[in-house]
Amino acid sequence: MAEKPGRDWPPVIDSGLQAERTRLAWSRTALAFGAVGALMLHSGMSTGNRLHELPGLIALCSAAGTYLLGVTRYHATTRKVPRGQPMTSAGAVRTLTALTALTVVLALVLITR
Amino acid sequence: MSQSRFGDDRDAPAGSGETGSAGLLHRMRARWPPLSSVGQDPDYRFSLANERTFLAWIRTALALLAGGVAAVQLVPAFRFHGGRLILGVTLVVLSIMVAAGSYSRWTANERAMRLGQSLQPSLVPRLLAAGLTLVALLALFLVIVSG
Repeated sequence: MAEKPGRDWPPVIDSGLQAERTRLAWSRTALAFGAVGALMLHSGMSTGNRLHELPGLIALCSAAGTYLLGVTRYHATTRKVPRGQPMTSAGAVRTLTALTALTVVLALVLITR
Repeated sequence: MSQSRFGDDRDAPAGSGETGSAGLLHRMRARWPPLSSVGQDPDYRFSLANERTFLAWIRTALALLAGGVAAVQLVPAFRFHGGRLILGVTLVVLSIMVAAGSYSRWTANERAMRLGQSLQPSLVPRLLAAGLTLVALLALFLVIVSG
């Protein structure tokens, strides 16, 4: 079937859909973060102390941050790969590790209070 | 750019502030140079596969964390006093080890790919298997004791 005239289709740069699969992996990680955050928020709310809700809220913000990080990585990858530029981002990996470490510490404080 | 900066540091006269935290940072950079300055950029597909593996390990750490929080907050109390806390803290500690291991594994894999070396085996899967076996045995003990 012939392509519609006047539509400028972008060339296929990633036949293995590597960038898209990686973006979905970031989204799954953000969902996992969200589930942990909801659980921590539920635990904090059951105590009646507003301060105990803070770890859950921070974890939920980390989930949003992880999702945005994945979107940013996807756009950076699709922009850099056709130009032959390096696309490895130690910063994104370090940021996610730091967010995970922060969430783990907050969860430890929440369960041992 | 980083080489010229290091060159400036080496040319600096002795006692001009190279000691202390700046000196420590310099020595650390010399021992573990930034990834971007090591070897050559690998095929982007391999880098993305390494990133997805890192994300899968982080999800494993988050699942362990959720299990730890749920064990303490949602599971009914066992007859054995403090059983839930022991179970929960064990899971959270395991989560810390998996999260830390995932980052070091990503760095080691990326470095090996940039240098064209084969990937080194990791202790993290064995650690996770041993930890989960411990958690399962602990849970079995608590359930039996609670009768």
